[in-house]
Amino acid sequence: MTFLLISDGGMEHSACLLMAEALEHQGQRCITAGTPLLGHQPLDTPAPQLTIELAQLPAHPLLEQVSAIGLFLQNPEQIQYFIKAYQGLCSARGRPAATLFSGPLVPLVGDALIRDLSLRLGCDLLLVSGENQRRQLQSLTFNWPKSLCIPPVISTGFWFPQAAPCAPTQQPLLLALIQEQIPTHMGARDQLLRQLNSWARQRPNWTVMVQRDHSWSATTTLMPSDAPLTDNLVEAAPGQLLPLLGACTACLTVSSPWSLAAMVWGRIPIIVGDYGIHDEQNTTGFFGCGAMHRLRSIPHLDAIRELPMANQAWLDEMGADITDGPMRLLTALSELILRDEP
Amino acid sequence: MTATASRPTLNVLLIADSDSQLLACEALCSAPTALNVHWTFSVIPRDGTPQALLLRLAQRGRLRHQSLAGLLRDSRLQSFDAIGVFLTGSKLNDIRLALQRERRRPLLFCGFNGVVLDHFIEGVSWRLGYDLICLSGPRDQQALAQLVAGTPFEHQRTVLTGLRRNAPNSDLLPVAQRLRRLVFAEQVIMPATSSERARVVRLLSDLARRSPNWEVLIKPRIAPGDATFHDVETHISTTLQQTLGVPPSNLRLDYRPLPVLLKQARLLATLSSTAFFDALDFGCRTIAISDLGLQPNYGCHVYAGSGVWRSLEVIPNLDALDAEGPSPDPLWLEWMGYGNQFSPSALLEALNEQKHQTPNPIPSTIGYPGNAQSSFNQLRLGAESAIASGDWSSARELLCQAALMRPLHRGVARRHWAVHQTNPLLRRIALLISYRDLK
Repeated sequence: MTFLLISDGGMEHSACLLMAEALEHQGQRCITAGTPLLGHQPLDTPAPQLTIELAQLPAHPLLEQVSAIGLFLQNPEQIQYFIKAYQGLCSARGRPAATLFSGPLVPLVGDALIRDLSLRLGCDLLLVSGENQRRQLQSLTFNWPKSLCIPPVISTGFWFPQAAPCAPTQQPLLLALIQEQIPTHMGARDQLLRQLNSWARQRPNWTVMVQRDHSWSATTTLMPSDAPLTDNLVEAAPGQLLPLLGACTACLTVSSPWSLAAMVWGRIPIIVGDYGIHDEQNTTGFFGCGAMHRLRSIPHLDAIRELPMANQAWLDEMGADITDGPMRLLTALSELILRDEP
Repeated sequence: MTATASRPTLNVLLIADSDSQLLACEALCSAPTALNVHWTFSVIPRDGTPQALLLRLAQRGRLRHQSLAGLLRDSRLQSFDAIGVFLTGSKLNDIRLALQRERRRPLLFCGFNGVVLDHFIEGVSWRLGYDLICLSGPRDQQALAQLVAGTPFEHQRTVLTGLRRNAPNSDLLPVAQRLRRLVFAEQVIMPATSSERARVVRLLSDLARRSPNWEVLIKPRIAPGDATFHDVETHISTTLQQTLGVPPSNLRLDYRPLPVLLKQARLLATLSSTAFFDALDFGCRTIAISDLGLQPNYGCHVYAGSGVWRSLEVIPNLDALDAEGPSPDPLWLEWMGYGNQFSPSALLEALNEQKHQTPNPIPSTIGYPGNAQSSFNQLRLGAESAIASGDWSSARELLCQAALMRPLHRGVARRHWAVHQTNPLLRRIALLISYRDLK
């Protein structure tokens, strides 16, 4: 089989690269394509083999040579546009369309999961993270009419490497994953950063690294300017997300999905529970993780060492126990192709 | 002694504020039961609560109007066997926390209003720790079980109370003998955009024109000036006017109570209202509108499996639809919680069984804070209690967390500054200046 994996963001490029490596290891041919990334990136990921704007992709001659296309776009609304344009062109040219597969890279739950599915309904195969997501989709689509064409759903695990790239550092290191728009309350992100600064000042033997989990421009500063920064609080340089996740003692975030990597790699997770379990804070997805704490319950950084690891049963349900995602994909695609053969 | 007096007695208080929550209370106390239930309703005053609904409740039990703060201070709360709380998230927490401080307390239960279309996880996280959570049917029960599996909340007790909200009627006319009438049950925020709301009105108008021997009635969710949980930007009467100018003569608004309309109508159409199930109670046929597509934010994904998810645009006319006799899929009805096996009676029986047992405390495990103590309002109320008892350290902590959540909230910032003053005189003055009565 020849695969084309299309992506448009740092996390998506990285996931496609990992998937391509695994599929090639299984003897498949893989091409990665995607949009160029702008600004500083948290991940150090090589560019896709083919750099192209999404709007130009459906008509690209490369698409005539592939048997399956994986769509991993940040905004699932774009998937519908691609499918419409691509399948429309195939139909006009009298050519069969390649099998399309797609899915949210991060484990979604509840409203976010069903909203995501509703935007991917034109795909032939849907990938979700864990058994939790697969079961939820079964309930959420209960008794739907055939006319809605729900694609088969398989769970393929997480989007990041199964093993950490390095061991934790000897000196304690807290990695704080800072999100672009969460917490949503005005000024709350600055307040969180001030808290980190205050913790760092209290315990100079710790290093606190603040790491954006999204792209950023070189001119934007992260820390609020009103508090003098302590020496042991450092902003992470671009491209350091994965090695820092591997090196950290503990990883703190409100709801960054990258905290799942810290959980899987055995680092102490802290999901900030101060903003409650709310859809708008993306914290509903962390219900049950066993790592949600209020900041006021952590008096100082040394107290972090006493916090529990993530709830393993929950983590496995979200996809941690799936280690053969690409094989599952290959099997499901082969079944689909066999089914569709005349 | 009368037969009534010999039956087991249950004293139940139901607390609610908005109209949809009061409707949920009304449905509960309509349940047939072998128990002798004394109902009391505590209504938290709110502008625009429909008077007709309050009058109906007053006929069923004792009706009180009390602010939440007044209610929490009311010593009569302890005299009930059970208290049912039908309020929004943070208030659910306020009542649970206030009562769980007592060594002996009534059983606490809560529920959802009608079909839960979205925010289920958020809603459940506010309700965990109640002695009983009422759910509609297997759909909600399965979602909750999946959510709490492997967590300290795994043993949360639930009871299925179903979606049959109206007492059985013996005087219902067979559909064929009813007026040729379709009722559209409007929802205030579904659909939400003015263009989609206009589209629905246009679809109804076109269907009315294609069906001149039928009446199409739009039943507004609320009358102009009344209020519900959600704010209404443009009342449906305005949308009707702005969309059609002059509607066809067989399309009009009707403000009569929904049960009155449903008893006389042959058909009900809705996007995703719980009125779908009320219609079935009144022997009316139902369809869910699919013209806006599968929009999960409007709950369309829930009704897509109903077996009667239909496009108004493709219905030739209402005679054709009527002749077809649309009927929801029984499998789906059972999944949702509509059927004789699901009834609020199950709640009353469970309460009666548990009323002499000591209620379980809420499980508290590190790493699972849920939504308890995460409400901004609650943090402020907690801080006020701490201030009243001179517990400055707790007051500072609670206000610090509230300030973390809303750093730009001036009231909290002032109060936070006040409790940080170490000079007692200065602190007292600062507290006086920064005082606000928190409702």
